[in-house]
Amino acid sequence: MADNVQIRALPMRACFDIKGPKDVVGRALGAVALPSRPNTRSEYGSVEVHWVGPESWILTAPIGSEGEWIGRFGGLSEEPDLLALTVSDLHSFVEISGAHAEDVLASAVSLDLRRLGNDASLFTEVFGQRGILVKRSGSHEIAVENSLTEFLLTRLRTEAGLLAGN
Amino acid sequence: MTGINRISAGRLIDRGRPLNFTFNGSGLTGCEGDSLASALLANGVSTTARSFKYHRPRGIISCGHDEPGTLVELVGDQAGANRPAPAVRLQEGLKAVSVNCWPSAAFDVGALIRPLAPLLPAGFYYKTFIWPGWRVYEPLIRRLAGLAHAPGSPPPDGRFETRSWHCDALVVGAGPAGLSAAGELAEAGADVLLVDRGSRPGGCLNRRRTEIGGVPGRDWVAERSAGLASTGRVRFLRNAEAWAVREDNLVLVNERHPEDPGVIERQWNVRAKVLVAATGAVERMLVFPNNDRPGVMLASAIQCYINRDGVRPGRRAVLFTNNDSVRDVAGDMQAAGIEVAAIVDTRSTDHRSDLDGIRVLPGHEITDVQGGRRVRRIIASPRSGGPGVAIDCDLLGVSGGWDPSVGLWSQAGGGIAYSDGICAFVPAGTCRQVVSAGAASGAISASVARGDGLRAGDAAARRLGIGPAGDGSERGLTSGYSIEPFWQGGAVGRSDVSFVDILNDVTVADIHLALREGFRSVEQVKRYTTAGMGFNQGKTVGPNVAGIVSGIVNEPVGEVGLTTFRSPTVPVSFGSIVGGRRGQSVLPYRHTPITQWNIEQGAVMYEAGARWRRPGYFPEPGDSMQTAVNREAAAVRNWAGVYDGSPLGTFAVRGPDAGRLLDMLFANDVSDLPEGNCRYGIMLTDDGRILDDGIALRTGEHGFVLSMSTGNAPLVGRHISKFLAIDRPDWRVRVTEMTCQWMNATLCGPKSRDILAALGTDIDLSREAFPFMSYREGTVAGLPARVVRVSFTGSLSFEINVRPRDMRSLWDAVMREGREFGIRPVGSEANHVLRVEKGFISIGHEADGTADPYDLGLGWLMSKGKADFIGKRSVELRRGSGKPRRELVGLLTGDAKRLIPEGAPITREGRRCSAEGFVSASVWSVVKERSVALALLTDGRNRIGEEVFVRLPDGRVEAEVVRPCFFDPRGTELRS
Repeated sequence: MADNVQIRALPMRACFDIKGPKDVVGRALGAVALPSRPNTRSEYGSVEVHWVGPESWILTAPIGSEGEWIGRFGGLSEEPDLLALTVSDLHSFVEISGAHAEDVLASAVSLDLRRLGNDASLFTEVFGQRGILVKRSGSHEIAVENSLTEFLLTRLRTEAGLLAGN
Repeated sequence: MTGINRISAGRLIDRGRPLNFTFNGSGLTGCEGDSLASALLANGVSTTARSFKYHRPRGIISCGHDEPGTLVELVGDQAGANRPAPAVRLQEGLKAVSVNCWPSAAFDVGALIRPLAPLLPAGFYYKTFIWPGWRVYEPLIRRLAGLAHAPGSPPPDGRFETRSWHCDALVVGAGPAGLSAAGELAEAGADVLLVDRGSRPGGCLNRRRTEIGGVPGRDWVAERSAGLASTGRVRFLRNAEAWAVREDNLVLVNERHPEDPGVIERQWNVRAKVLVAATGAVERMLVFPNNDRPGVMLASAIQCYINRDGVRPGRRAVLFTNNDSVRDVAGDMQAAGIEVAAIVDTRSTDHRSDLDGIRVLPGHEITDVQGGRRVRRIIASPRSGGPGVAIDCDLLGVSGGWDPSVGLWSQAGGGIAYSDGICAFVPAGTCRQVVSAGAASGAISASVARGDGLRAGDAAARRLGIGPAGDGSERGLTSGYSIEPFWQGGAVGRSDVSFVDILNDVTVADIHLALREGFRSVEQVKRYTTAGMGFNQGKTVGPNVAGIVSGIVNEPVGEVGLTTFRSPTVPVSFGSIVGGRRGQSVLPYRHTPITQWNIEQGAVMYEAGARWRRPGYFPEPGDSMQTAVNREAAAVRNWAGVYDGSPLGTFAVRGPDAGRLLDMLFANDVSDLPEGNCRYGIMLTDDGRILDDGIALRTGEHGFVLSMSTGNAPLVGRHISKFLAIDRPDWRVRVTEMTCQWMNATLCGPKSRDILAALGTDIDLSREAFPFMSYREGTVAGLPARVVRVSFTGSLSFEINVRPRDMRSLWDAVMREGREFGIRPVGSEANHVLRVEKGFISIGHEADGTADPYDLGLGWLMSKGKADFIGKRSVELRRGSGKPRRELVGLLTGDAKRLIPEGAPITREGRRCSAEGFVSASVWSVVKERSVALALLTDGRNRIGEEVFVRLPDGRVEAEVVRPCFFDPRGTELRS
C-alpha cells in the first residue's frame, strides 16, 4: 500500500470561522455563495466555503488574501449577529492522495467515502479528533487543530504502511 | 510425508509446501493449508490438551472456531493466548503449547486433582472459600484459573488495523446460501460485502462431496464465485468473521491474515443497510458418559479433516447419531480407508437403506467410552434396556443434529423459537434489517440451503427497495434430513462424566445440582454451572442445556429457551479491537509553538489538562525539583518570569444576547463590563458547584472573549453549547472556541513592565493608561498583539497574546530582552507555588467539585442584582440549611520546614476518625521561606488562630489555621 499513497502537510491558508444567519453571512461574503447542502462546499475562484453545521461555515482562501478578508469582516462590526473569526492558525491541512488513499482514510473516518461527491466537505472525526474532511478529484484534505498535525501525519503514515506501526 | 495419518484426499492443502512447527516442544511437519489441528491429527497426536477443571485428557473435537477440546498458546513471534487449534493457521516455525497442563498434555501433574472431582461440583467455590476469607485462597486460585498466558509484548512485526466500510448488503457466510443470496443481491444492483471465516468460499461444500443441482459442489462454488466477481458489485473478504451486531446494523468483522503482509489482523466496522446472516449451523455434540475422550469427534469434523485436509483421524470408527447427516460421513470415511465398525443410532427406525455393509444399531445409545489418552472401545446399549455391546475402535464420530448459528440474528434483535422439525432453535419472525438464510434459518441440507439463499437474497433486495415483488416470508424446507431429539444418555450414575460443556468441564450432574439448588432458568443455570460461558457463548452448549433442563423440569425445550447471545460470537484478539489506537494515539498530546523550546531547555514536561503538555519545571544540572521550582518562583517575585499560557481555554462570544448569556453563565455581572476591560468570574454548575473560573474581556458592544482554565476548556465549551442549544435556542448569540488561534507569553514579576517596554510596543504601559484588569491591542516586538493585564501569580503580569505563527518570534524576543532583567522560564510547579502564596483558587484543588463560591471566600462574586444565573438557586437552597461547611483557610505548620502532603485529611486531634477537612495545596513559599498550605476546613473562617491536626499514615502534623493569603494581601503588587 505504501507505494500507492502520498501524504503531505499543506501550506497555511487563510481560514475564517463564520457563524450567523444565512442571509447575514451571505451579505458578508458578497459574490461567494454558501454551500447549498450540508456536508458540501462552494467554490468561488480560490475561495471555498465549507459547511460545518447549521449557520456555521469555514471559509478558506489563499494566505495572501487573509488581510483582505480580515478587513472585509472587520468592516461588518456593526452586524451583531455575525461572528467571523480568523482561524488560519487554528487549522492545519494535510493532503492524502494515491490509489490507496481511501483505504487509509477508511481507518481514519467512519463515513462512506466512496459515495461522496467531489464537492464534499465534512465536519467529522478523524482518528477520534475533530476535523474537516475535504474530498477533491484525486485527493482528500484533512484539517485538524494545528497542535494535532504531527499526530495526524503519524497516524496516516502508519496506516499507510509508511511508518513501522504497532 | 507430512504425517502418519495423511491420505491422498484433501483439496485445500498443498503437499508440495511442507511447514515445520513445534507442539509442546516436539518438532512436527504439516502442509501449507493445514490448520494446527489438522496437522496434529496428521501426525497422530491424539492427546492435545487437558481440561479446564478436572485435567482430563482432551483431543481435537471439531474443525472450527467452536472447538471446545483443544485451546493452545502460541509463543514466539506469533504469540497468542487461548487459540482454538482448528482456527490456528499453520505457518513455518509456528510454536504452540497445550494449556492448563504441566509438564505436558500427555503427562499432566494436575491430573492428580481428578480423584477429588466429586468434591468439586459446580458452584463449590461459592460455598467453599468463605472462611476465613477469599483473600486467603485468592492467590492460589488466580494461579490455577485461566488457561494460556497473555503475550507479554506486542507482535514484533506488523500492525493491527481498523477500517470502516459501507455497503447495501453484508452477507455473512459464503456457503450455498450466502453465495446464492449475494448473487441475487448483486443481480438486483446492490453493493455487497461477502465475508466468510474460511480461506475460500463454499462453506460446508468444502468438506462434503455433495452435488447441487446435479453439479459437484466444488464446481458450483467456483461457478458462483466467478459469477459474483463478474458483477463488480461484490467484495469478498476471506478469513473474516462477523462477531457482533451493534445499533443501526453496524457489524464488526475481524479479518485474519489480510493480504497486506504488514497487517496482522484488520477490524472492519461495516455499516450495512441490510444484513444477510448465512452463518450456517453447528453440529451438536451428544451427551453421554465419557464423551470427552480424545478420539471422540464431531462427525462433520471427521469429514472435514478427510476431504479438506487429507487427514484420517482414526483407523476403526463408530458413528453415534440421532439424525441422517452421518450417512455421507460414513461414506467418506470408508473412502478414506477408515473401517466404520458400526453406526449407533438412537432412533428405533431402521435408517440403513443407503448404508450397505455398515452395521447399524438402531434404538441404541453409547453408555461408555473406554480408553485413557485415546478411545479404545465403546459400549452401545439398547435404549429399551438390556446388555450392551462392546465395540473396539479408536475414533468415535458423533452427530447430535445441527444448531443454526443464530448469534448475529439474535444480537440484531431477531426472535428465536424451537423447531420440532429439526430439534433446534431457529430464527422466528422478521427482523427489520436482517435476513436469515440457509442452515442459519433452519434449512439444513445444502441444496435446500441454496434455495433458501435465493429466497433470502430476494427478501434482502426488497428491503433495499430494489428486489422483486413478494413478501419474502417463506422459509426453506428441511427435506432429506430427519432427527429425533436425544438430550442425555447413559445411566444416571455416570452423569458426572457426561459432559454438557466440554470447554468448561460442566457435566449433567452439575445441571441437576443447579436445579436442586433452586436455579430454574437457563440463565441462572449458566451462571451457577458456567455452562456456555467463555468464548463458546452457548453456541454448542445451549441447546443441550435446554434439552436436559427440559427433561428435569418437565417443560418443553422451547419454553426453557436459550441464554442471551452476546458478542463476540467468536474469540477476537484485543489487538484487532484496539487497532491503531494505542498509547498517545488514543489521546494525543497537544502542543504549542513553544513546546519544542521547552524540551530543548531540559524542562520536565507534564500533561496539564485537556492533553496539553506543559513544562513542570526547568532543572539545571544537579538540581532537585524543589531547587528548580524555588529558583523560578523567586524570579517571579523578585525580577521576572515568563510562562507559555497558550493552552488557556479561549472562547469568542458575539451577538445581541452575548451579555445576557454571560450574565447567565457567570455568577457575577459581566454585561456591564466596559469595552477594553476584563473581569474575573466564576461559572457554576446547575447544582451550584464551581465549574470553572476565568476572565471575560469586553471586545465590543456585542462581543466578548472568555479566557478559562486549561483543563476545563472542553467542559466549559460543552456547558455553553448545551445551554444555548437546549435552554435558550432563541438567543441571538454565537460562540466559537479559539484556544489554538491565540497563543500567549505571560510576563510576570516586578520587572515585567520594563521587559515589555524593551520589546518595543505602541501600547502605553503606564499604570494609569493601562490599569490592572484591562487589555490593549497594538504591536509588541513588531507583532500584532493583544496584551491583557491580569495576574494568576499575584505579581505584576502582562499576558501577551499573538498569533501562533508569531509565537516563537515573540518568545525568543522575550528571552533575549529579558535576560538583563533576570528573566526565567516558569513551569507549572512554580505557578502552583505562586498562586498558593497568593491564595488564588485552583480548579481541581480548592474547587474540588463540592465547594461553592462562599466556601472559597468568593461570595462577593455572587451577584445580588441578577434575577437568575446558573447555579444560583442551588447555592441558596444549600446554604439555607445553615449547616457549617468546609471553608478555605491557610495552614502554617508548627515545624516551618515540614511540607504536608496535598490531600491529607484534617481530623480531630489527628485521630483516625471522620475528617473535618483536607489539605488542598501545600508548597514551599519563597517569600515566607517556610512551608505554607491551603485547606478546606469545616467552619474554617471562624477557626482562624486555632490549632488543627493533619493525619498522616505515620503520625500527625500540627498546624495553625490562618487567613488563606501569604503574599501581598492588599494586592499592591499585581496592581503596581
